[in-house]
Amino acid sequence: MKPPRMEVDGMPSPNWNDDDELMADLRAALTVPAVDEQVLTAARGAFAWRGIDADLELIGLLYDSHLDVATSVRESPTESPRTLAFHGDNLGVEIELNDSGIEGQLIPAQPGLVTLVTADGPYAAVPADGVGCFSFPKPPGGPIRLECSTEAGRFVTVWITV
Amino acid sequence: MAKASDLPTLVRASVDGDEEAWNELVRRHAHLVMAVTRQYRIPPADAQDISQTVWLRLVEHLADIREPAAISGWIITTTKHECLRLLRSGGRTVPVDPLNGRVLDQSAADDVDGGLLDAERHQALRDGLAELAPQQRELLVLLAADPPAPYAEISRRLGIPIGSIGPTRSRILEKLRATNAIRTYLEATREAAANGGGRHALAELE
Repeated sequence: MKPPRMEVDGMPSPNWNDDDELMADLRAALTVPAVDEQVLTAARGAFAWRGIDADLELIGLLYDSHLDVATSVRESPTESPRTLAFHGDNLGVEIELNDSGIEGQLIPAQPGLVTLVTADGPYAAVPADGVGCFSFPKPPGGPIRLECSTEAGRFVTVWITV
Repeated sequence: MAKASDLPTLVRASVDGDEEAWNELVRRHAHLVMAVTRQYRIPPADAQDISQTVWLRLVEHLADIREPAAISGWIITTTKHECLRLLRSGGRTVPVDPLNGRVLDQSAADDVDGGLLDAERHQALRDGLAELAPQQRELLVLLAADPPAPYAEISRRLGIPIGSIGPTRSRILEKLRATNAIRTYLEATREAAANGGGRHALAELE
């Protein structure tokens, strides 16, 4: 006796209810180009960052001019520097990425210490002046984040690719 | 041990600091990140940077993941956003609508959307496969090889009679359909379809 077949509905194409179609899709799923060892090593290495900044508030990216539709209609992306705003509950940082590097300001305006961090670790640290302004020379390629420390608190931004 | 674990186990173990589990998560999903960057025709050096950003973000996001099966959707969405940022920064040649990530050229748009759907579906299949018992998995892998392994060789390697390979395949495919990964994927696809046709299976999880 044939066992009752489990019907899966809402099936996308291809039809996985059909053994042969499912096998064909499985074949496609298993035919993937190998991922570079370098990419895998970097991905595994990301684990070293687990919990490292657990005592710092992680603040998210609130605005990125390169994902803003209003900006993209008005001007071509290469003409204007990329601006990004990161905000947490009370603290934030806004930066502009241009040809010479990073210029930024702590929000609300206040002095502090800002560290530019790459996947390899802290890269450079600079003081933010009385109104929270700071600047870094052009960072190396790859993911970066900013770690900011002020009297009001310490926080770190999410990783971004520059 | 990590190799045989299902996604929820791997995610929980990674949160608890098990590096083996993390490495296995990477092994299973590294393809997915690269598949998305390929859809947007990101050059290899940039794709490498994007991949690293996505994994660094995942390390931070891991503890907040309530539904481990949704990890593929999260990876696709995060990678997609990074690709779009890069395309905008570089003034690249693929015009995309930054609001929804659709490529503005319609035929190219259909290609990218279709490619992302394929990538997600294939990831679900690989995740499902990983949930099966090793012997069951091996049978499907041998049969899915291109060209498929001859029945005589499968019979020898797995110690099952040639005559029962067909029925066994059918039974294992049934098990595959019942895996957590496949059921969760289908659930998400159904929900997306119910929430209006245009939206595809990868919910915006951010």
